[in-house]
Amino acid sequence: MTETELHRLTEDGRRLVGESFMKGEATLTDEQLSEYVEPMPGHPTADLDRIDSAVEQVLTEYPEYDTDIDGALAEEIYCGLDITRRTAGDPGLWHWLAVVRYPDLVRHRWEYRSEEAMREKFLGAGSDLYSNAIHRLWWIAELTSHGDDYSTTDAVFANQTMVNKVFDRWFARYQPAVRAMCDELEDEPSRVIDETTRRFNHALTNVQLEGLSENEAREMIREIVAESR
Amino acid sequence: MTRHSQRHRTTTLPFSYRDKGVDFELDSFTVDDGNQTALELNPAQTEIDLASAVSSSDSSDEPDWNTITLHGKLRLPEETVQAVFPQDERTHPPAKLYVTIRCHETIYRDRVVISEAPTTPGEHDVTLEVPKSTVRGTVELRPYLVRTESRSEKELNDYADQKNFRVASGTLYYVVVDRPDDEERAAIDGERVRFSQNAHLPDGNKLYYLDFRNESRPKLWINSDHPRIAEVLQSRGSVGAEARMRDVILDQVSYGVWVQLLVRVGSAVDVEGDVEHEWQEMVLQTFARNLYDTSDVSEATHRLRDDLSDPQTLPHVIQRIDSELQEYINPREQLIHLMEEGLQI
Repeated sequence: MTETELHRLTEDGRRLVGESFMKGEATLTDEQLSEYVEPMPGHPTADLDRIDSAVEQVLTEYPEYDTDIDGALAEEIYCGLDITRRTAGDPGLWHWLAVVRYPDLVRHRWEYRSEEAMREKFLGAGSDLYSNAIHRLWWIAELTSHGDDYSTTDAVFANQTMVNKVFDRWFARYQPAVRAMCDELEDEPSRVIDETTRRFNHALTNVQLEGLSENEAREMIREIVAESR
Repeated sequence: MTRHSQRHRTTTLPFSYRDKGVDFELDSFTVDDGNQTALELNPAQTEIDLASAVSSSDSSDEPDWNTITLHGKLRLPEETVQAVFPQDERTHPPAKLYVTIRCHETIYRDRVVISEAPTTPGEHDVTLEVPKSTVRGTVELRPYLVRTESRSEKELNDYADQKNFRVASGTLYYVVVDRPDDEERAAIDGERVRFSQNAHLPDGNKLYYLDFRNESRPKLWINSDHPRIAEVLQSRGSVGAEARMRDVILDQVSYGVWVQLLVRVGSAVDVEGDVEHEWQEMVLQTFARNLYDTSDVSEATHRLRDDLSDPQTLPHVIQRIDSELQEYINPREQLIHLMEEGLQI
C-alpha cells in the first residue's frame, strides 16, 4: 500500500471545468492544473492505489451510467481515503478527486444531461450529500457503515430510491437515525420509502432528532413503515 | 415585535413549548490540556470566536489543536417545568436534558446528555468536548429538554404526551473554530437601521439600500422598519423554516446588490483597465472572468468597461450580468429548500 498526499482544487480552479471538459471532449493538462492544485492543510494521505484499481475495474466491467457502480465503489473509496470528517468537509478535496484524479469515472457513471447537473457531479460538495459524484459515495458510507460492516451501505446503493429519498433530507445527517432508516427500508418498495421518509421528516416537527437513540429511531420508523404500506 | 415573535413560536407547536425555557450559559473553554480560559461574552452574545485562539502559526496549515472543551451551566427553571408538564409529573419530570452539537460543514449532528430522567428544576454543570476531527468552520450548540416517556391521556390537554417530544430549548451558541478562507474578501459593511428615522436613507418600504456616499467603502443598510424580516436575517441556524427564509431573502438582496456593484465597477474602470478601490478589485476578481468566459481578468475588465459605455452593447452586458448572478447566487437551490420546508416534503 502506498500512501499518497491528498490535494485540493482551489476556488479559482473551478473555472477550469467547462462544458467540453464535462462532456469528455477536452482534458486538463498538468500545466493548466498546477496553479490551481494545492496540498490539503495538515497534509493528509490516502491509499489512492486502492481507489485507482477499483475505479479501473469499474470502468472495464460496468456499462456507462450503471447505478451499480455506486455500490461497487463506495467501500473502496471510503476505506482508501480513511479521512476525518474535518478533511471530508473541505469541498476542494472532492473537486480535486472528481476533476483531476477521476474525471473518467464521473463521466462513466453520470450521463451528460445538462451543464448544471454535470457541474454538480464535478463541483458539488459541502453539506449537500447528493451532489459530487465521489463525495456522495464517501459520505453515504460514513453515515451507514458499522465498523467494518458495509452491509447497510451496500443495501442503500442497491436501491437508488433510498439514496434519493433518505440522503436528500436533513435527518440523514444524524447517524443513528439514518442507519435505522436504511435498515428498515432495505426491502421496501419505492412507494413505502417515499412515504416513510416524508412522514418521519414531518414527525421531527415535534420530536427532537438528536434525542433519539438508534433503537428509538428504529421503533418510530417501524411504526411509520407499517402505516405506510 | 421580537417578543411577539417569540410568543408566537411558543404556541405554534400543538403542545406547550418554551423556546427559551432552559438557561444556557457558556463561561470558559480549554484547548487540549491547556488552562481554562474565561469567555468574556457581552449580554446576548451568541457567537464565540475561538478561531484565533486555536489557529496555527502558519495560516495555510491545519490549526494545532485536538479538542476544544467548553464549560458552562444549564439551568432548568421551575416555571418551565410548570409550563410544560402536567401537575402530576412536575415533581419528577420524565425528561432528559442534553446539548446538541451540530456542524454544517462536516454533516455532523450529535448530543451530550447533561441530565437523564427525571430532570428536576435546578442547575447543572456542562462540559462539552469538540474534537477537531469532527468539525470545521462553525459549531452550533443548543440545549433541549425532551420527554422520556409517552403519556396516555384520558382527556385532551395542552401538554406534550409522546416520548422524545421536545418541550423546551435554550440559547443557540455558534462557536467559530475556523475562519472562512474568503473572510478577508468581504469589502463592504452592512448594518441594520430604521430607514424612517434616518434622513439620508430612502423613504418608503425599501428592504435595503446600498450606500455609495463613501465610494471607497460602500455600505449596505438593511431596513429594520420591517422587524420580522430583520429578525429573520439575523438568524444563524442552518436548518428550519427561519434559516430557509433567511437564505431566500439574502439571495434576493444580494442579487440587487451585486448588480449595482458590477455596474458601478464597470463604469469606474479607467482606460488602463485599473480601478481605485479594494471592493472594486474584489468584484472584478469574482465576476469578470466568468462574465466573458475568459481566464484573463484584464481582458474581461476592459470588455466590461466597453460594453457598459456603449448603448449598443449595454442590454447584452446586463443580460450577461443577470445570467452570471443566477449562476453565482443559485437562487433556485434556496427556494427549493424553503419550499420543502414549507410543504414538509
